[in-house]
Amino acid sequence: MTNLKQLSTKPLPNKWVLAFLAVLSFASFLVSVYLTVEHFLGEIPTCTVLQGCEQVAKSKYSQIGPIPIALFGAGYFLTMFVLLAVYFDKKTLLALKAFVLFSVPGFLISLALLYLQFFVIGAVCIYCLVADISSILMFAGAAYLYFTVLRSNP
Amino acid sequence: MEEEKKLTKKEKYELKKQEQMQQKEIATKNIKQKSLAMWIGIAGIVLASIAGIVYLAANKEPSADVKLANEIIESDWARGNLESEVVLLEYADFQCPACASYHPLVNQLFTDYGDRVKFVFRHFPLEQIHANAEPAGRASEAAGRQGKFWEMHDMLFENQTAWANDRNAEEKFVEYAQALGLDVEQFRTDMNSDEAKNKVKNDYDGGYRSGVPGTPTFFLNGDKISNPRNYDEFKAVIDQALAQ
Repeated sequence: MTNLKQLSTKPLPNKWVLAFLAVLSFASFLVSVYLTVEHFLGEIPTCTVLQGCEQVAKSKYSQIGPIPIALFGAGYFLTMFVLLAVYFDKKTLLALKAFVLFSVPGFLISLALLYLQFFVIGAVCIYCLVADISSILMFAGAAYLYFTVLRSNP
Repeated sequence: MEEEKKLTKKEKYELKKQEQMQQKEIATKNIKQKSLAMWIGIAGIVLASIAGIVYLAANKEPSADVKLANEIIESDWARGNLESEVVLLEYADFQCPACASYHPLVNQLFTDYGDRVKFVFRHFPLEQIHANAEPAGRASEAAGRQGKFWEMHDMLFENQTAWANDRNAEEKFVEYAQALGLDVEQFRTDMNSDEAKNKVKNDYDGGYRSGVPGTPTFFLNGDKISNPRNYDEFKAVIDQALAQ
């Protein structure tokens, strides 16, 4: 009874925020998979909204050694999506804590990639932009989860 | 009713407890099944999405009949019979080993067909994998400003392994310029000029718009051709074009 009482008084995450983060992470996962597949097929993704995708995709910053950055992105976004799914399934706050923790390097790396696109390469790739903005939004969502739920549930 | 009446209080309690246990078990089983279904669903969607993207990317419209986005223009590097209607255009990357392999074949074609065919070269540096390709393109442009584009073009391909992975490749290019008897200071200035950068970039952009998938890519009279596997195949394609 004590446990139930304790649980009922502690705030729960807003399910719409969680759903939004899940959709965002899955959509970004798809974008990253697309970029990865294009990389391995040796093709340059076509861009319609903004020019310059080819410049970003063929720049030396688009891969670390033989591994394209997009593959790391795909792994990152899938992990974030799975963590949210674990929370939906088990209602364990540990999954949300991991989500919040992982969102920090994701956010910093996205800022670095945006800087490279705008100030070093001088071209912006729409697909990369979608993934980077998505990562920043996920960090904002993670901050919301931390301040509304996790801080009071150590 | 009679049977129920016959049950003692303790038995009733046990029965109720048993029923509760059964309900709890069913509820747990349902939760487990729902959870399993959710994870199977997620795995299915993820795998289907990856398969779908791979399928769509791999089955794009073939670019075999791609036409050149821009016609051969004054600023293109051309040699051979400049008046010929048979034009072999090569998009190449100086750091690309395949391009270096094709280089003797193209030179042989030039020797054999130079009087009947116009040979055009355009840059397509794959910077993603070849860090020195774009500077090499600029070096050839700089040599071209002093009338030795094709000499530098040959030198870059023939010595590709010497500079391809050199951190200071531009100094190697300066050495080549010296060997070709160019004004070295002028060469340095031209190699780093916006004109050279723009020329290489414009070539790349034109190739990109024309659907160049990699290097080398050859266009014969504006039509992309499959890369011939040897000199005889190349010769046959040119002969066919000349016969038309």
